[in-house]
Amino acid sequence: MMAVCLRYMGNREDAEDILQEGFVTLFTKLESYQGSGSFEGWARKIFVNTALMHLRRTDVLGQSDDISQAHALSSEETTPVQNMGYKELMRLIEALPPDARTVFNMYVIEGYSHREIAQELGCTEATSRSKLQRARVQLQSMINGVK
Amino acid sequence: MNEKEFDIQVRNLLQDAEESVSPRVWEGVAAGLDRRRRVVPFWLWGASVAAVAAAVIAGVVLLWPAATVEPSNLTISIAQENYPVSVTPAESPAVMSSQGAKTDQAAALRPVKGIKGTPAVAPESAATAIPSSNLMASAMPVQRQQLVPIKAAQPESYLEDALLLEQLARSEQKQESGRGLSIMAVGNLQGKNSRQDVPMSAGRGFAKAGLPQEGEFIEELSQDNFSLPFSAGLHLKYNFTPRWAVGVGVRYTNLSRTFMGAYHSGQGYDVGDPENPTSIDNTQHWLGVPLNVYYDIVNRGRWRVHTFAGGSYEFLLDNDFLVHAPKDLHYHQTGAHDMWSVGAGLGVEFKITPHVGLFLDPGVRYYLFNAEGMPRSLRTIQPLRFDIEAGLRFSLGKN
Repeated sequence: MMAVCLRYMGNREDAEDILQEGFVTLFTKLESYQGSGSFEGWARKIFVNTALMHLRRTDVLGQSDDISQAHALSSEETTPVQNMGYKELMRLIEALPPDARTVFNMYVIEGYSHREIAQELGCTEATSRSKLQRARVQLQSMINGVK
Repeated sequence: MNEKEFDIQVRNLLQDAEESVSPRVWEGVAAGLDRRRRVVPFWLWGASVAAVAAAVIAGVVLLWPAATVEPSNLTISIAQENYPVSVTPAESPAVMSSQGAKTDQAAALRPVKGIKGTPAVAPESAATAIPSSNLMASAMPVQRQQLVPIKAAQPESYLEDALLLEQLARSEQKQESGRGLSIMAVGNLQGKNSRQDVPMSAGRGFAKAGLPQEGEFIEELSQDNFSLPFSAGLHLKYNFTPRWAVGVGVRYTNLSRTFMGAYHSGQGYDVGDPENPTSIDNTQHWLGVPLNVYYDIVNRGRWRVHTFAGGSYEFLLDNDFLVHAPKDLHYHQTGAHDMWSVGAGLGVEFKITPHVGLFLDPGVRYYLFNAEGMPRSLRTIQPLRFDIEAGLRFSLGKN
């Protein structure tokens, strides 16, 4: 779960705070786990929600987004990432702006839809799409730079 | 490579992620759990108090009769055994009468000198306890976790840490429904619902001390105005299996009523008469031993729903009459009166902490007694009664 927290928070200190808070929440809410679904998924959601609460508190998700700057990745500007190391990719993800990183994590890794992201973050679906595109472009750009 | 392929490649790379965690995190988790275990949130206390208040109010509102009990037109004489019983003329054909008839002879009453006044009428959540050692053992392997989209999580993607945490969760649930001894402080309210045209029963007893005066009796001349019966006591409850428990205890019950009547001393001193009756308070003090069997239907999280059934034996400690006169007269009527009751109900308990629960047990109870000479009360008028028992349960073990 530390990796989950690190992806959302972008630095180890904040990630460890979220990990600690998330485990306390998890242990105090164990009774509410019904056993019907994946325990890992249930536990992961606690950590994601804890991270999102922290991000909302610190208002890093409220940054404005210029939708006009968002554009889809073109095949010319993409580079395969299979050969990258985990540490390298994490370092690049940590370098993304918090709002774009959050949407990227929720959509690409956790599997949220744009509607769910919009509800969680209090923004529009269009904004969610825009931030996702911006995260993809920035991440790809950084990957190209590394290569 | 399109966006979808890009996303998949990133996700695949992150799925095998491992991150080390500094020891300060686990120390912080343990400290956080300790803090939450000690602190019961204010809202929880507030909710508990509100729940009790709501239950009491609901009980009173639901069980309080719309009107006072209409009496029969009978009058009753409470007189000394072996002395003629005086019965006032009554309109009802069911008048109890007959001097010297043993069944109509009523309780012997004797003034208690020096006693005045009305008798005393008592009218985000706590933490789950997890040992620090368990916490550390279960939490450390989390470093070896995988990253899988929540919605796409498959059983094969479960990791060792997830399994350990799941086992911990199930272990907690099992422990919750274990055996254990608990102490319950209970209060009980019964409804006052009574039917109309109730028969009267003549009290028959013996003076507590000394000899009663010849011809002394109390005459009832009006309807009864019953107060809400209430009980209080302590019970011990033992879970001999995770679902079955037996409870035994001791319980005090107060039954009181007020009526208009007259006191006849038999010595030429009377208080009140049919044309100008006086107010008389009657309070009965009972002590009982209830025995119940409980079965837990649901015991999950903070809630326990159970059904119960059992019986109770009670005996009369004191039957007190207070005649309001220029100088109040106070009487005690005692006798070998006892009654049995059987009851059943469905209860719910909210666990404020793992060791303290707030319970509410509504149910029905039927009273069995020898009608002859039994002091009049709501129970003798309507033996089948609804009641609500509420209280706190203190668990002495893991329960």
